[in-house]
Amino acid sequence: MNQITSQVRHDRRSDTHDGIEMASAATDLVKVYGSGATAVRAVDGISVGFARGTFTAIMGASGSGKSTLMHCLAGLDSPTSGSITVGGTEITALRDRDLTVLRRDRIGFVFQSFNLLPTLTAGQNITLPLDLAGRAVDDAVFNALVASLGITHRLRHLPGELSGGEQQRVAIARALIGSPDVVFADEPTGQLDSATGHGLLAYLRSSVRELGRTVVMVTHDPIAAAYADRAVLLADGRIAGELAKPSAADLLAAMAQLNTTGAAGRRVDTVGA
Amino acid sequence: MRGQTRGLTRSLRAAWSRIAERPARIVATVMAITIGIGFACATVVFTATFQADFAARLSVEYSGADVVVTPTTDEPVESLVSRLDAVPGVAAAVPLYSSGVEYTAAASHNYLSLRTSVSEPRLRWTTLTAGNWPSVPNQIVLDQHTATAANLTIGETFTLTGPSGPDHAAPPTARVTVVGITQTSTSPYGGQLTGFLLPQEFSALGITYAPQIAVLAEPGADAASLAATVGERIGSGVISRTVAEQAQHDVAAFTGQTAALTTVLLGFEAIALVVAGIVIATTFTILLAQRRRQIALLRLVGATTAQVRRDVIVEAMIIGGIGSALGAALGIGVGSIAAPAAGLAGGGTVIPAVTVAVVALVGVALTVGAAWLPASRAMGIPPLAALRPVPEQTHARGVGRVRLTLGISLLLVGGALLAGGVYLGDLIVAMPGGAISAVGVLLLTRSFLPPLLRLIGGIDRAAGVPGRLAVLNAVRNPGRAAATSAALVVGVALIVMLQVAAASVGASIDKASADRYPVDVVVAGDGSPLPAALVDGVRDAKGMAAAAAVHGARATATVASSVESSGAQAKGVGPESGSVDGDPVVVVAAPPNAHDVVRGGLAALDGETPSAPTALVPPWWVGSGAAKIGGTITLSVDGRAQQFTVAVGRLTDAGVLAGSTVVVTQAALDRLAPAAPVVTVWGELAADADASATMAEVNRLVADQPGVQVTGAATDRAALQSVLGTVTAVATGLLAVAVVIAIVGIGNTIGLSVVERTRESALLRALGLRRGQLRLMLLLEAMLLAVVGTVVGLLLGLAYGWAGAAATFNEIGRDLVLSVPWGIVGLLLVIAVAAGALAAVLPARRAVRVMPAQALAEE
Repeated sequence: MNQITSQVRHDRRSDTHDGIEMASAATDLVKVYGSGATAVRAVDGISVGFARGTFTAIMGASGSGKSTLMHCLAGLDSPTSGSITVGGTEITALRDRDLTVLRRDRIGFVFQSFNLLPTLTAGQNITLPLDLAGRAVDDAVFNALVASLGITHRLRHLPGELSGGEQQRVAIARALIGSPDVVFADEPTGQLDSATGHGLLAYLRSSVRELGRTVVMVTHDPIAAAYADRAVLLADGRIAGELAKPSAADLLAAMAQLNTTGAAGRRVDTVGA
Repeated sequence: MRGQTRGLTRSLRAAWSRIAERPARIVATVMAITIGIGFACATVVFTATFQADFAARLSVEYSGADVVVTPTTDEPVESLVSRLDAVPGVAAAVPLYSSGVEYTAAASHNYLSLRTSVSEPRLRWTTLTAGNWPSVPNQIVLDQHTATAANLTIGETFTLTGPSGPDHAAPPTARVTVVGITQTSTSPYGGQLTGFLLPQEFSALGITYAPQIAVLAEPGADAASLAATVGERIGSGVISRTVAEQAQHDVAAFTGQTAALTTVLLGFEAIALVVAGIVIATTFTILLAQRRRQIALLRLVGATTAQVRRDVIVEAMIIGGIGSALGAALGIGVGSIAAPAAGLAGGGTVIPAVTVAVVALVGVALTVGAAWLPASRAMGIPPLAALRPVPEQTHARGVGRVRLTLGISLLLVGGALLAGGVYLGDLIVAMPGGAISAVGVLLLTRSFLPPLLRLIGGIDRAAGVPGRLAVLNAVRNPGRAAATSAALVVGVALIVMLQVAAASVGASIDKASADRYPVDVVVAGDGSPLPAALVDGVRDAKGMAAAAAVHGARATATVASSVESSGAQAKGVGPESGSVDGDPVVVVAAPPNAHDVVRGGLAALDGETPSAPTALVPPWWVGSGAAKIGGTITLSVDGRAQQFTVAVGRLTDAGVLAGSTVVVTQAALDRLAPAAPVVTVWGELAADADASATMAEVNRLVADQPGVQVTGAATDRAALQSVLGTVTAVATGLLAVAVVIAIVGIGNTIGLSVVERTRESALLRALGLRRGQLRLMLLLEAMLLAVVGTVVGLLLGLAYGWAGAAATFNEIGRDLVLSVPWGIVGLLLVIAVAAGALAAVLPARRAVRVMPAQALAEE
């Protein structure tokens, strides 16, 4: 804990860094919204990699560019410049159709507002990515997954009939069912009470540690981010620092420091050393 | 008061900004109103122009006069004219004759309608194309049509024969010379042969009555006061009207037809507007559902429920106003193009501004009315709704018990009335029954459409996930799906109903005429041999299933005087005197293949023996007592005579054979007239033949055969097919307007749903739904709605069409043959699927353009 790390280098476009296989990586990523005087550089030259089997939190205040970064990494939004790889595949040049298939087969999503399809049952929501791909559902995998999430008895219900926590468990099951290269979670606990939120975060951490999943989570909540192996701090569209095995207190302090010093391009590599 | 004005201004501004913000949302609604109102306005312009045209034609002869006098007694017109001349203010009185007389020319002999050749230029209503107007007696002018038909040219002289007097004296005649030709008359009485004669010559032909007298006023005299003066001075023997009054009166006397036309068109307009109303109401329901949070926010900051409703109503008024204005412009444009194109603008294009304005107001009222219920529902949105997250649609709101009960009750009551009406053959009972049950069905659509959507949607599942999602989306909001499909149900049901009723009526009448006439086509002359080419031509005509050459000969009939029959002994010359003795008849032989072309009626000829042959005689012989069934008749051909037993089969009973045809067996004819020629051809139409085309072909074959005529069941069938075909085609075209509006409605619902489901579409795209799949999903959803609406409409249309035809036929006591025009039904389904797909094109484009990340961003 509390150890300062700078193990991620940003100078190579590759899915491996120092022999570590990257599930997702970005190099010199820029995303500009608008043009001319009103242009906003939401992501301003970020290079970052996420090793397989790790749980990373991307932290930052509102407007720091963390959601935009995630959308670009996940192929939901196209970057203005820079390179993005998913499991070694360069995705910035992909056509929409190929990108869609890549999202379907190799990326899992968990959103703050659950984002389940209201017309499908919980079970149907979980298998949707496989159904879209025309892949068969492995019953053993499915049963183990829903059992581990404790939603076996809710599978026939429509999302509207589930509690927030249950809906988010369904969303996590949907994200994991296809064994994607990387799962992106956008404020997954933002609309849950703290007890439910902790349960979910613990589950995500265990899925990384025990099943070797890769999870990238965007959050502004230091307590949530403390579940991650590593935290990447963002400010004004740039990486402002990184913490390995952070505690909530470290993160809170780092965030506070970002806020007081003003972030503009500053790195906070040595928090709480 | 001032607060209210300010409130209204705020509502107006708010409504306008909502419309301006997302104009695409109201495009479909505006389109529905525009089409509906445009249709109505086009009808208004068309009928007004048509009526003006009609009035112009009716009043063409006196339109140049000031006052029109209509004699009501048999006072000779010349005496009336001299009395009129004496009335102060009258410059001239000209009798407008219209009398039929016989004419005899070198090349023709016929009847001619004689009209007045007026010398006052103001009164001339037709123009000369050659020659001059008559100036001295015994001169006549003909119109172009008459000159051609009667084969007369300028300079030729012919004879007119007036009506014979009461004392059977020889009718007066006059020799007249053609001095001029006018253009063909445009009077509604036109079409007949017409000649123009100076007024003073009519009395010489014994014509002393003119239906109208045109009166010209002296300069400066007022027509209205002159009409009154004439009425006073002449007394009770005349009706005196100004030209305008007279035109009105004449149109009114004829208006039966145009009024019926207007009523029918109004019926179709009402249907189009009802469908438009359904579409508008659906639009507002969806718009308000989407604006739920916004409305709650308004309530939260202090808007009253009444203000919420007023906002919606004001918005409806603006949308209705735009749609109606566009519709009025469209309708005026279409109407003013259509009427002249139909050759009905003789009175100029008439745009009844007041009526068009009223129709446009109806459009606004319709929009506001359709928005009223959704607006009232919006009043019930609690302010708290603004604070809650957008409610996820958990499961469909149950169908209201009231709606269910009412729907079922109406269906049962209406259905019972309809069944009773069909059973009793009483349209007065059946029609309201049909209407009541139809309302019941529409109320119940919300209950039965979702299961039906799921059922038919089973096909969509073949399309994988997009198909499954399409079905789920279509049924997620049963009220919306029901209302959307209901509009289509109404349009399709009416078209199918009309088609089925027309086809059933046609088939029933076909059957009736087939029963009445045992032979479809009879080509017969007066007993002279028919050329072989004609026989072959008839046999080879398109649509002819079989044809038989029938041999026959002219014969003389003698009924044995021993026959005990009331009038048989009386000697006479015609059937009315009860005897046919010595009458010329044509005796024909039933051909060997008679059974291919004759539907029964030959049984009496079967099993006859050479010693006692049978003859089928015309039924009126028996009816008049000239012959008796089972009695004996002697037929003689060229001195050969043979006795026959009298029978009447359906063949002769049906009256399909010319008046005096007797049918015997071929063997009997061979004995009576060896080597008799072919004198008639009997043909049978194929079941699917186009009777009109076949009859036209056969008629062309006999055109150059003097005395040869074509009769039989097919003639009736051809006439019927053509009339029914025209009527149903026109009505289907008019109902198609309603279907177009309904399809616009489907596009509208899908479009608004796409807006509503932007996040959902984005989520699906994020999870891996390809653009094409998303497009396919929306396409399938729209097609599903279209197909279900069409299928329900088809079923209802079939049921109601059949019921209507059955009630009609029971009422007139005929057998009904139910006929379903499967071709048209299939076509409708294909059109519905295509139109549904078309309706989804624009919304789908909009949906796939959204980037997943944009839509997923938290709002």
